[in-house]
Parts: sequence; C-alpha cells; structure tokens
Amino acid sequence: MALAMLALGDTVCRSQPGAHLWLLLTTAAYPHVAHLLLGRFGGRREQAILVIDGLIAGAIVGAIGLLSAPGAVLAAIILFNWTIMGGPLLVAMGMLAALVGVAITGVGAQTNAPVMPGDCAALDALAACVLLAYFFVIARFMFRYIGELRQQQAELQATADVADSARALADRALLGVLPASAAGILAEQGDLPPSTISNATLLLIEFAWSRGESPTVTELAECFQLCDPILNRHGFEGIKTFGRRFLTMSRAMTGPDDAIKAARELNDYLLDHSALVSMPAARRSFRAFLHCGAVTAGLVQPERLNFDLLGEPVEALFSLASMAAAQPLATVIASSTVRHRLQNVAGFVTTPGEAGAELYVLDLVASS
Amino acid sequence: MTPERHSGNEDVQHLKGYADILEDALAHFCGDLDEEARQTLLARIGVVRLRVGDTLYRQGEAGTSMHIVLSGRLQVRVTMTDGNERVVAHPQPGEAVGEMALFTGSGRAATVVAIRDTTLGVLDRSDIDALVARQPGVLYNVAKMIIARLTGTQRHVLRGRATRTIMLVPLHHSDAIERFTPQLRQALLHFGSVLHLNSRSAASRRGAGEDDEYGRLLDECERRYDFVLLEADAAPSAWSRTCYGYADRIVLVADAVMGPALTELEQWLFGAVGANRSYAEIELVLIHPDSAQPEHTRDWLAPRQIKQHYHVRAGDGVSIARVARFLSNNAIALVLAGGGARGFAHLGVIRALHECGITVDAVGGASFGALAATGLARGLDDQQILEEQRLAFSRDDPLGDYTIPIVSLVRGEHLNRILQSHLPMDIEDLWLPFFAVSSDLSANHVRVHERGPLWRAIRASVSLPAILPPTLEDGHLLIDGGILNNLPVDVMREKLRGPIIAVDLAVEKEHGAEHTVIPSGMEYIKSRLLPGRKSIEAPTVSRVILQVTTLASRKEVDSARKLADLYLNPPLGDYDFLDWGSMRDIVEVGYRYSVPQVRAWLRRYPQHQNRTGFAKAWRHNLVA
Repeated sequence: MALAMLALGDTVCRSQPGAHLWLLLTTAAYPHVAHLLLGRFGGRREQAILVIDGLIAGAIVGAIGLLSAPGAVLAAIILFNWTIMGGPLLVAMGMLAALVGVAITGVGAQTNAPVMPGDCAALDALAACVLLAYFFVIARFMFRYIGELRQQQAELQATADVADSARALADRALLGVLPASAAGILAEQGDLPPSTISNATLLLIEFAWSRGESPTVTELAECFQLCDPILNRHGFEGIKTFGRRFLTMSRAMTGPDDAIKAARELNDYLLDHSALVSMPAARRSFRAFLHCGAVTAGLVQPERLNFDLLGEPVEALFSLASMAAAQPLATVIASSTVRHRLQNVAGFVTTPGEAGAELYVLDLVASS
Repeated sequence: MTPERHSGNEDVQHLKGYADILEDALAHFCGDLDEEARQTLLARIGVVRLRVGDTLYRQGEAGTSMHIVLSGRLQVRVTMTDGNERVVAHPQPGEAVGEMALFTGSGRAATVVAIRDTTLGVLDRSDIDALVARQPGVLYNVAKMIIARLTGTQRHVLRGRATRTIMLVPLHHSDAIERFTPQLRQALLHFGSVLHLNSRSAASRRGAGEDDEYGRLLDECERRYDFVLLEADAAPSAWSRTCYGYADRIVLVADAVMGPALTELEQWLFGAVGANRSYAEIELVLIHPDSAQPEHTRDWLAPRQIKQHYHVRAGDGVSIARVARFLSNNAIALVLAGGGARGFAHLGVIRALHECGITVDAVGGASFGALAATGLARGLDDQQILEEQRLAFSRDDPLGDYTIPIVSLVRGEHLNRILQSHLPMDIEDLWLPFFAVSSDLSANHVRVHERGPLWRAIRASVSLPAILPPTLEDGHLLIDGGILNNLPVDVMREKLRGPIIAVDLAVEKEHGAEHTVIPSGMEYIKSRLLPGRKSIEAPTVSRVILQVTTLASRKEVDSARKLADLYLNPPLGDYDFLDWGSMRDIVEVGYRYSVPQVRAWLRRYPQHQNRTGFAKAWRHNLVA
C-alpha cells in the first residue's frame, strides 16, 4: 500500500513518475531481502527489523509528505503496528529510524514542490481507502482473535465444569459406598487407615419372612431403607449388607441399650404398619444379633475403597447368627458379653443354641 | 365458652390413662408430697374436655381453679397494653395452666384456648388450699414456678409448637397421592418414631367397645410415638372429624393436574366442622407429574388459608424428604446477604453445601443474595446457577443502560428485561419456599416478597439507590433490601423452626478504605491517566453508595448472626462491590472458605447431613 501511494503521488500529483524509483525498488525488494537476512540477526532480530522498517517507512512518509493526509495515515498505521507488536523500547527505536528516513527523503522533497494536504485528491482518496482497508483487516483479525479466545475460554470452562461434576459425583459416591463417618474422614484427609474401636457394639439385622418365602430384591431394599433411619437415630451406622443381613455398628458406650431400643422400634414399626405395607401375604420380621468388643475398622484395601470390620467380635457375631438360625422371629439374640451389660433389661431368656452354646434371647413382642 | 367440669366414675376411669402424666405434673408442681397427700390430691382431680377452638378462660376473669394438660394442646394469649394480642405459650401434656391467678388472687393473666381437642385435669382452689395447709412447702415450689412463668411472659417468649400429630387430607384420588403417604412416613423416620393411622388401621387398634371417638387411642399413640400421621378419609367421616380435632398440622395433599377448586371434603372440614376455629397450621402439598414444572400455584392458594405449600414430584424421594423435614421442624434454610459482586461468593457456598451433603429446603435473601437464592429455589444445581449468572453478567450487561443521572445512574431497562426473561415465574411456583426483602421507602420498613412475580421481587430487592431507579408497588417506593435488612435471618426464623445457615458478605475493613486524604476529582483522574503517578485509591461515588447500603443495616446483621445456626462470612476484603469481572475468583473464595466451616458444623450436627437418595440406594443395590 505504501508503494502504491508513493507511485501515485509521484505520477499523478507531482507528474514526476520515477522520482523515487530507488525507494520504490528498495521497498519492493525489502521483504524478500529482510527474509534472507532474518537468520543473521539472531536474538536481536526484532530490533533490526524495526530499525529497517522505521528507515523505509520514514523515507516513504517523507517522500509522500509528512504533513499530508496520506503521510499521516501511513505514519499512524505504522506506529499502531509497532505498538501492538513491540514494547516501548522497540517503538522508540522504530520512531528514531523513521525520523532518519523522513530526513533522507523529506529534505529533497521540499525542494521539489511537496505535496500539501488537499493538493492531490487522488492520493487522499487512496489514503482513505488504505485506512478503511486497514481498519477492516484489523477488525477482522480482532474479531477472529476474540472468537478464538472465547472458544478457548468456553472449552476451559467446560473442562472445569466436568472436573467439578466428577469431583461432586465422587464425593457423593463415597457417601454411598462407605459409612458416613468414614466417607467424611476420607474426603477430608484423603486416607482412612484401619484403626481400633475399643468399645464397639455390633448389631446384625437379619430379615426373614414368617412363611419362609424368599424376599425379592425390592422387598429387601424396602427393609434396608426402613432400617437405616431408625438405626441412625439410635447411634448405629450401616456398614454393609450381606443378602438379607445388615451389619451395623455403634461407637457409643450405650450401644447395647440403644440396640434394644432400635430393635423394639423397628419391630413396632413393622407390626404397626403391616396392614399398610405393600406385601400383604407375608409379614416381614427380623432377628437381631448383638455383640460388643474391640474391632478394627477402616479401609483394608484403600485402592478398592473396601471398608471393613475386623476382629474377634465380628467373627463371634456371625457365629452367634449361625447358632441362632432356629430362633423365632422378632427377637434379639445377644452374646453373653452383651447380656452382662444389659442387666437392667428384663425379658431375656437363656436358650441353648446349635452346638450347645447358650443364647440370650429377648422376645420383642412379649417383653414390650 | 367456659367448660364444665366432669366428675365421677367416668373421670376416674379416664384419669387412669394419664396416671404417669399426672404423677409427673404433681411432682413438678408440688415437689415432694407424702403418699397420703398425693393420693388425696389425685382423688380430687376432675376432668375437663375441650373441643378445638373452645376457650378455657379469658384474661381478667377471676381464677378459681388450675388445670393440668393431659392430652391435646392449648394456646396462651396475652392482650398487651397497645391492644394487640400476643401468643406467649403452647402448654403441652404434663404442663399446668391457671395456677398464677389462683395464688396471686388477681384475675387471669392470659386467655387460654384449645387449639386441639384437649383433655385437662382440674384442681379447685379449695383442693389447693387444703394441700397448702397440710404441706406449706408446696408454696415454695409454686412461687418458683410462678416467677419463671412471669419472666417468660414478660419477655414474650414463644415456645415453638411441638408437632406430634399430622393430619393428611387427600384432596383427590390418584396413584401419586396414594404413594405419597408411605413415602412421607418413611422419610419422617429419620427424625423420630412414626405411626401412620388411617380409619381402617385405627379401627383395628381401638379396643372393642370403646366409643370415645378414638380419643384414648390417639392420646396413647401420641405418648408413644414422635410423629402420628393421621390419614383422613377421602370423604366426610367421623374419623376425619377426629383427625381434625387432634391435628397439630393439617397437610392437604393434592394432585396438581386436578383443578384447584375447593373439594367437598375441604368445604366440610373447614366449614361445617371447624368454621373459624382452625388453629392447626394448614399446609398444601402439590404433587406434580415427573417432568412438569409448577405453575398457577396462586390459583390453589387463593381459596385456601395456607401457611406453607410444597411442590413435590410424583414418587421423588428427595422432594418428599423435604416435606418431612419441614413437618418435623428439621428443614434447613439458607439466607444470603447482599453485597454486589461479592455475592458471587454465595455460589461457592452453595457448591460447598451441596458437596458436604446438606440439602437446602428454603431460601431467602436481600439484594444480590436474593438473586443468588432464586437459582436454588428454581431447582438448579450450583453449576447451572454459576453458568446462568456468568451469562447474565458477562454477556447481557444488566447495568449497561446509563442515563441522565436525575433518578439514577442507570435506567434499569436492561436489568428488567434480563430478569423477566430468566425469572418469568411467580414466587409461589418455585420448588423451594423463597422470599426476598426490599426496603419500603414510603413506609420505612422491610417488605418481604413471598408471593407474586419473581422478577419484580428481585428487581425491588436489588434496586441500589442512586444506581438503579426504585420500583413502585401498591404506591410504595421500594429500594434495595440491604438498606434495612441485609441479612434477613429474622424473617426466615419467623417462617421456619429448623437450622438456618446465614451467609454474610461484610468485611472488617473495606477494600481501598485506607485513605490519608480525600483527593479532588482532578487529582484522582490525573493519578489514573498520567504515567509515572501512583494510582490514588479514593472512595468513589458508586463505592460510597454501595457501602452505605449495607452500613445502615449492620446492627440488624449483628443480631441476625446470633439467630443463625451456622454463620458464614467468606473473606472478601480483596474484592470490591463492583468487581463483576472477578466472578470465578470470588466463587472460589466462597467455596474454599465454606467447606471446612460446613464440615466442622456437620461434625457437631451430623443429623443435618442428607444421605438419602441415590447414594444410599446405590450401596444397597450393589449388595442386594
């Protein structure tokens, strides 16, 4: 565009075609020469290019006329480009070089009837077109650049949202697969090594159907959902389900007493609402097995989030459950350890279990 | 009506059912009595039965007897010197009423009304006189009791009404309603033992030959269970009448696809049975089809006196659990303060609450807090709210229509348009109970918006003085709610008895408040434009206006802080009121601050962590 303006100025406005032939040739050759020279300047490439840019630009502006509209347009465009591309130092160097360029061609031009503003309408029109075209190119560039930025921002946002959702899902999943207290510790500390609970009360609820039918998955889910809130209120936390059995644990010193209260409430609820529940044919009931002692609880296999209870009381509880398989429904079957701690609870009956072991059985209906 | 005293064999039989309550009440009232005095007193006790709405006695009447509540519920009202009546207590079974006038010799200090069918034990002055003559030590106990009562009355302490008996009134026949009751029963189990009775199960439990309209059965059930759900018949019946008399709360359960007109059962219940005598709180549950959004709720509320309504998706355990939390007074409320761009921190708090397993059941707020609360109330999750606000503030430029600053700096048309397009619904149609507060310039009080178009309520609540023009409602000028009540915990407390989480945006020392001199306007501009000059932090007009809006209500905020169960105050000192560009950073500050605070709170109150829903079901399903 600078070449076109210079050539037009010389040909149409001054009627001196080729007055700045050397400058036209230099400007036309400059991009190619500069390209060849680029590698030689190494780290100072930008400064070198700007100095040359400044010299040539200044020379062209000086040739066209520094005080003319086309000259001002060219100067403004070049200055804007430098501002965008370089820092204050580079802009200063460029401007210095440009002034040298102006001095080279401007002095000679003054002696050869300089083009003054308003003297040449064709050159002014070309300058206006150049300015418009430049703005159009810049606007287009900015629009595309901003669009790309927006797209990148949206992609980043989407990635962040996915990460947030995944984290939230993981946190909720933790609550689903682990007891609440364990999930809370794991979420906060990132680890849940097995630790000993010296005075744990273990309560195993085994659902059974009075007529001996096998429960469906839906019926079992209904029973477990029923257990959860009642046991939670009495201080028991669900650990795991095994088929028809639900293993729960309390850390409270009053665990055995709380277990009896929970079992009574659960039994009352089942009795009270037997006419309202969705399975009229077989009345749901359960046996509750109760034992206490020191257990180890935590993530035994952290990589699989496998929360487990270990220790003799756990084995004893399941032995108790197997020995009491023939006991009636709606009962609490306690170990001798628990019975010893429940001296004030009336209604326990000593019954021989399988393998001759003594069982302490509390009939929830008769003793209520 | 002054009730008549019944006596004789019927009383003796009836009192047997309340022996434990009477024993406890007498021990509390008289202290240690010798066995003979105790037996004599028990033998002298008569029985008074009140229907819901009956007055036991009126303020100023001469007192000749005292009463012990055996079953049911009373309401004690005092007429103040300004003529207004104030409810000061709700005596429950085991508590005594009327003893003050008996001993002071003055008239009754309050009016006492039965708000449920109620049975009372009654002791006359002569019985008490005889007791005091025999055991003067009783007077010491009575004096203590009267002083406590007086102190409580003069401070206008209102003890919350306990909810034990909830009447469910199905307004339509539908599967959705039939499934609702057992799900509600299950959800209530998280908060206490539950008994669900309908006319069939009640009839089967009632002893043969008993004909006292289920009274004894229900009294017994109320003593044994934390919550008694009484399911009314779908048509007028004696059982429904009994439920009405025993209910602390009446919950109408309606299928939203049906018409909102009053049903025959309602007309009978609130007309013939309980005309002008309903003291139970009446609530409405609207059950919507799975994918439907609530709409036209105002048509349901208009013909009914509803204290609170709930929107429930058919079969959705989450929304039914919410109703259970409200009915058991365990609903969790979130109150959000105003504070301009700092309000983005609310979104971080909401995310933290969600991740920590807290389900918010009711929301309210002032100014930007009210705007943030609308997202939750519409059922959006934290991510959706964040995206919506990001678009509203970065793309739509709500405050971009500047005008000649005569009324305000901004015309507010942009904001109106954005609010109307994002919040086209009525407040009644929101999934969660919601309110916004604005400041009524005309009447100089706080206006609480809980009905009507949502966008208008928000527009009034965010009308920053001098920046946005005030809104006009019923001839009153409404401006930003933060002016008079920037953290309206008190408003929420009046509506809800469960825990309240309050999020305040105030900072101890405002950003840029460290001025040594106040620069002139020219100095300020120069410092900003001329290179080499240090920028002067000056209290600009907009910043001063925004700070003034919250300054005025600081005192209210301090008292609100005490009313809140969990008070959150994210450290937002680095952000300005108008820092709209720092949205993500502010959200992050709110989130990072809240997570440890909320976890610490949950360690103390684990019952507020909601672990129902898919997480629980998943654990069970995995194993089953």
